[in-house]
Amino acid sequence: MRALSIGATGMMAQQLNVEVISNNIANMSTTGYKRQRAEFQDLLYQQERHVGSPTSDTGTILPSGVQVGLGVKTAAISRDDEQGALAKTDNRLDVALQGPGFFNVQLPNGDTAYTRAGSFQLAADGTIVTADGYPVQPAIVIPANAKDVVISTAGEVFAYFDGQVQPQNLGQLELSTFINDNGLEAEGNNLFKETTASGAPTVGVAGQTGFGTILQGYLEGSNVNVVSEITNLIQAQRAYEMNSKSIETADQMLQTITQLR
Amino acid sequence: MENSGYLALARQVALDRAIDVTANNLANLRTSGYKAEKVMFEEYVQKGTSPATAPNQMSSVVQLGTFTDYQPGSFEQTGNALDFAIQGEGFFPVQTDAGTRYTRDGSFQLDANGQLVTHDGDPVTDAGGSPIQLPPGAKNIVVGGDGQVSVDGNVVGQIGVVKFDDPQSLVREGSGLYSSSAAPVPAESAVVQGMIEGSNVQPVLELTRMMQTLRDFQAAQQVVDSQHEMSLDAINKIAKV
Repeated sequence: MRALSIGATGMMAQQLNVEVISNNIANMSTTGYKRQRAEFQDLLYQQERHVGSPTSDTGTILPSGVQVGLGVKTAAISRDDEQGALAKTDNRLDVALQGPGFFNVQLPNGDTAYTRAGSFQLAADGTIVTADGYPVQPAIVIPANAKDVVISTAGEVFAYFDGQVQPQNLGQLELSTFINDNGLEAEGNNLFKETTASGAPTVGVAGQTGFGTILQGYLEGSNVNVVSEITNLIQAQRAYEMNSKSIETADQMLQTITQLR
Repeated sequence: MENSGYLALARQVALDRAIDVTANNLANLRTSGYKAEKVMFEEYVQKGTSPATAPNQMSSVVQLGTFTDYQPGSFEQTGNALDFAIQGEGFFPVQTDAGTRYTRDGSFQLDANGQLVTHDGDPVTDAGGSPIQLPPGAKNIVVGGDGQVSVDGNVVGQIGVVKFDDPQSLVREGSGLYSSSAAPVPAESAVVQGMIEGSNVQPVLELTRMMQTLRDFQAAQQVVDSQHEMSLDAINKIAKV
């Protein structure tokens, strides 16, 4: 009775599906969050009668064989890179990326991580840091006496000082793009890390070909679409229930067998 | 007289197969590009030993085969530029280590070199078998109905869509892949970007089929039980004589 374990693979797959959907809903207001999707594939097949086997000397063949599938497996949990909606915050250090690219962040261990969450802040010495206090690369220090900070669409950071008409250029934010964004490893805290699947980063500045532009005073919201997530949740729950029915039916058939005398 | 027991057993073995296939369809209710499987049974006729005493023959059931229901699944919009669905018949050719395979699951990705690949990292090819290579940093990817891939207006390749004269001859390999010994022919079906073809499993049908299978299984059990009763009855009566 393979139906028992086939039903179990189906239930496990839908459980994971519900977990991925719950995570999307939980992150519906997370800056720069990209929705995820669980993708499934059919598992192995047992070929009990191979299709195309000869059935006689005269060359007739089996038009269709006996192939029994053994259930379902998770193929991938992929990220959907669609642009999130931009929300106005008016905060001088909030920057949103419109188009492809990631901000570079230096982790405490020296590694570089990548993020699309541009809700930056200042450290005690004036360095631009993420919400976790990790410095944004390249390091840009805003002097304490700066009156106002302006970030251009190309990511150039200017500061205005008292008594000066011209703003002072403090540096330029750099961006990284990857051939396969889906290959990045999610680290949590809105951070991603490079892997062999993502390929090496291409470093550039905003506005170059292949890079997005930077908008000061905005944040990129999550691209989770709650309506479609809820619909997916309903579908996942029903699929889960139906798979439990397979198990129930297989169980009842086994029960019938045990009543054999 | 024991024959009725064997006939019921053959029926139960067949129904056991049927429930496995139904359970597999339900497990793949949310698998992209999955095509439902159906079972076929045939009659096996056992001729009686003496032809003079006809009709002295039994027919029991054996599983003849499974076949694939190639009806289209419902299309789901994903908005992902690397998700594709085929409108109509046909498959995407995929180059695996074991040779060319075919799939209806068009949720593709780019690998680190910019090649269009499946979830398992196998390159998706054009009709001629060459992989689709996208230039580094390709973001503005547009795929036309004929499968032609263009990046920023430059054509870089064409995703193949092929079909088979007899799709039932395809062998299911799992992971959404099919293999075939026959050579494919180009299909005219349109490729739709940003959509994924869902599973074509119809849950209501599968659930009713499952209930039917269970009842049939129990009915076959009744045959075994009553045959057992008869044997017992006979033993008791004969012993009294």
